[in-house]
Amino acid sequence: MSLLQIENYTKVYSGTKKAADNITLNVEAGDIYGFIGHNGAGKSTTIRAIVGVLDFTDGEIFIDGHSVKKEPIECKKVTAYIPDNPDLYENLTGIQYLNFVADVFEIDADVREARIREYADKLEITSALGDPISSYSHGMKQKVAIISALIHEPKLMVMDEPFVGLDPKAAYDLKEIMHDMCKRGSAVFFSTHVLDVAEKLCNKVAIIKAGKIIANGTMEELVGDKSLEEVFLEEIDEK
Amino acid sequence: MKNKNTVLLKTLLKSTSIINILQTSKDKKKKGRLIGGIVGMALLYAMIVFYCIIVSIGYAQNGLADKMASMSALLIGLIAFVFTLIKTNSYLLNFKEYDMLMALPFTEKTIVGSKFLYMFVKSLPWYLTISLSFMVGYGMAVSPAWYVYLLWIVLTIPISMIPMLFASLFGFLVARVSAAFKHWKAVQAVLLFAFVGLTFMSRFFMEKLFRDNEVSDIVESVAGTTDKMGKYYPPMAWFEDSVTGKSISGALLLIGVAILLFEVIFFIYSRSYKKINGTMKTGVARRKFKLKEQKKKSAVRAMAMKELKRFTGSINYLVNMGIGYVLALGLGIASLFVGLEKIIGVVTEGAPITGTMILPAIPFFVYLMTGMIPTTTASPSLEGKNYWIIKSLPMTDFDIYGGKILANLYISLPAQLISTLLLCISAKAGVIETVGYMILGVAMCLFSAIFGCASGLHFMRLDWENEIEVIKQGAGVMIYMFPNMILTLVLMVGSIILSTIIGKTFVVIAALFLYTILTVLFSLRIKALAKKR
Repeated sequence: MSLLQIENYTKVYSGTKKAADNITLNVEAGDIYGFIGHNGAGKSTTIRAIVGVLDFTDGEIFIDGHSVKKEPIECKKVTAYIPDNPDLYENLTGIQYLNFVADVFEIDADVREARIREYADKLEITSALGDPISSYSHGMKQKVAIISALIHEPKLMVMDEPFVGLDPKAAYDLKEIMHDMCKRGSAVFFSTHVLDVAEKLCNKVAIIKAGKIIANGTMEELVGDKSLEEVFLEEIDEK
Repeated sequence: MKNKNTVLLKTLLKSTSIINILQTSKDKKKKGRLIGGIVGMALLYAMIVFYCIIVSIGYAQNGLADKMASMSALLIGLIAFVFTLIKTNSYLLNFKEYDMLMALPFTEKTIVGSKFLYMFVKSLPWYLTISLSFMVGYGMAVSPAWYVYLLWIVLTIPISMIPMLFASLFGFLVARVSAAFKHWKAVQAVLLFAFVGLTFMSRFFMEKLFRDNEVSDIVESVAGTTDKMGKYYPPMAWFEDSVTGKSISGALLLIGVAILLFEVIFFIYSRSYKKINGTMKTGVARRKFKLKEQKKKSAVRAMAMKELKRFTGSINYLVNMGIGYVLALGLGIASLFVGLEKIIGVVTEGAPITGTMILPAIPFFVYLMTGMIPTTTASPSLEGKNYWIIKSLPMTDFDIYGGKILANLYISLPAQLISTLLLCISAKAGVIETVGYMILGVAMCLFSAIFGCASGLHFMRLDWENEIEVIKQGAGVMIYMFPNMILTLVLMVGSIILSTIIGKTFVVIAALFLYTILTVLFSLRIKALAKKR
C-alpha cells in the first residue's frame, strides 16, 4: 500500500528556475526511504511540498490516498514532519510545546502522557522538559521535535536531515524508532548527507540532482556489490 | 474537543507571555531585563493616560463631551491602521515557525486568523488605554449610566479590530502583488512606503474637513467635523451612537462588521497563503557569481556594511526605521517644487507664519523625521542567534558598536543634510545659516545614533521569536523614541523664541553644546554597557 505517492511533481520558482522537475516516487508501508543529493539539489523543496508547507507548480502528491493539494488536513493528520533546524517556540517549556502539538492532534491526556514518557525517557530528555526551549541545545530541540512528531503515531514520517546535531545515543534511538514505526506498518521518508547511515538504514533510496531523480529503487537494486557512496558519486558525475 | 484556533492562539500568547517566562526561566538577567521593560512600558502607558485625560477634560470644558467617543475611535483608528500596516506582514506572513505550523493539521485560515488575533491581543492594551482614558473623561463630564461604561469597554474591541483588519487587507494586497515579482522585497518595500506615506497624508484630508467646516464657533466646528468624518468612517459614528445612547444598532453593526471583515479577509488570505509564503521564504538565486578582486575594509566599516545589508535585507526593518528618512527627503524635495511658504500654509492652516520666522526650527523639524527611530535602537537585539558571530571574532566593543553607529549615520546623515539644504534654499537662508544648520544636523544625527545605541544595548534582547518584537515593540525603541521626540519639540519651539532674543547663531551654538554633552554622556554609557554584554 502506497503511503506516499509523488506523481510528476514539479516546482518552478520565479517562473524560470526548476527546483524540482517531474519527480515521481512511491513510498510503501514499511519502507525506510532515503532521499540523497547535493546541497541545493531540491531535497528540502520536495520535502516541504510533501508536508504541505510549499505549494507546487505541477503534478500531484498523495499521502495515504489523500491529495496534498485538495485534502491537506487529511494528509497532515497522518503525517509527521521534522525539519533540519526545528523552529520551536523558544519561550515555551518542552512539555508546554508537546502539549500544544498533542492538543492540535486531539490526543487524550492519558495517551499523550504515556507517549511523552516513553519517547522522552528513551531520548533521555524527561528531566529537561520543564525548562524553556530557549535553554536547549540544538540536539535537545531536535529531540523535542522528534517526540512531537511521534505523539500522534503518524503513518508517514518525513524528516529533513534528522541526524544533524543528535548525540550518538539519540541517533541510535531514532534509528530504532524508525524501525519500530515500519514494523507497525508506517513509513519513513528522509533526506540525509550521511550515506553510510542511509545504506544501513534504508530499504529504498532516491538520488536527486538539479531537481531531477537520477536513480531510485531498492537498496539492493541500486547498490549491488558497491557502496552507496560509490554509486552516488558515479551517478552524480555521469548525469 | 478544543477549537484549533483557540489552541493556536493560546500557545502563541503563552510563547511570548512575560508571566510564563518569569515562571519557567532560570535566567536572572533575562528576568531583570523583562521587569525593567515592564517599568519602561508602564511609564509610556502613564503618559498616554495623562495625554488622553487632559484632552478629554479640554473637550468637556468646551461642551464637547458627546464627541469624546468619536475622537477616541478616530485616534485608535489612525494609530491602529498605521501601526498594523507596518507590522502586519511580519506577523501574518513569512514568520519563523511557518513550516512547523503548516505541517500540523491546521487550515491556512486557522493559522493566519490566529496570528492576527495574537497580534490584536498584543496591541489591544494600547488601544484600551486610549479608549478607557477618554471613557474616564466622559464619565467625569457626563456621569452616564453604568451600562455606558460596559458598552464602551466591550466596543473598544471591535473599534480597535476594524482598522487592524483593514490594514491587514492592505498588507495582503502588498504581499500578493509583490509575490508575482522576482525581486519581491524591493516591490514590497516600495508599496509599503507608498501606503504609509498616503496614510500620513490623510492628516491633510482631515484638516481640510476642519477648514471646510467654516463656522466661527469652535464647538460647532469640531462637532460638525466629527460628524462629517463619521460619514467617511462609519465605525466612528456607530461607536459614538452606541455609547451616547443614541442607538444600540451601532453596537450590533460594530460587532457584526468586525466578524464579517475577519471572515472575509482571512478567507482571501488563505487562498494565496502558501504561494505568498513560498515566495517570501525563497531567496533569489542567480548562481552567476564570479569571484573578482576583493577590497579590504577596517573592522568598523565591515561591521557598518554588514548592518546596512541587514537593514536593506529586511522589509520590517527597512520600512519601520526607514520611513523617517523617506519623509525627510520627501519634505525637502517638495519644498523645492511647491515652496516652503505653501507647505507652512498647509501645515499651519494658513496662519501668518513665514519661512523666515521658522528658519531656526528647520534642523529640528528635519531631525524629528531622521531621528525618529535610529537603527541602533534595534540593531544590538537584531543580532539574535547570530550574536556568537561578532562575539567570537577578534573585534573590540568599539568595532562592534562603532560599526552599528556608523551604519546609522550612513543612512541618517544624507537624509538630514539634503533635506536641511533643500529647506534652507526654499527659505532663502544665508550661506552661514545653512552651514550652521547642517553642522547642527550632523551633531543631532550623531546624538541620535549614540542615544539609540545606548538604549538598544540597555534593553538588548536576543531571544525574540519575530524580529518585529525588537524593531517595533522593543523597549530599546520605545525608551529612545519618546524622550527624543519631546526634547526635539522643546528645542524646536525654543529655537524659534530664543532666536528673536539671542540671535540664530547663538541658538545653533547652544544646541550644538547641548547635543555634544548628551552625546558624550551616552557614549560613556555605551562603553559601560558593552562590557556587560
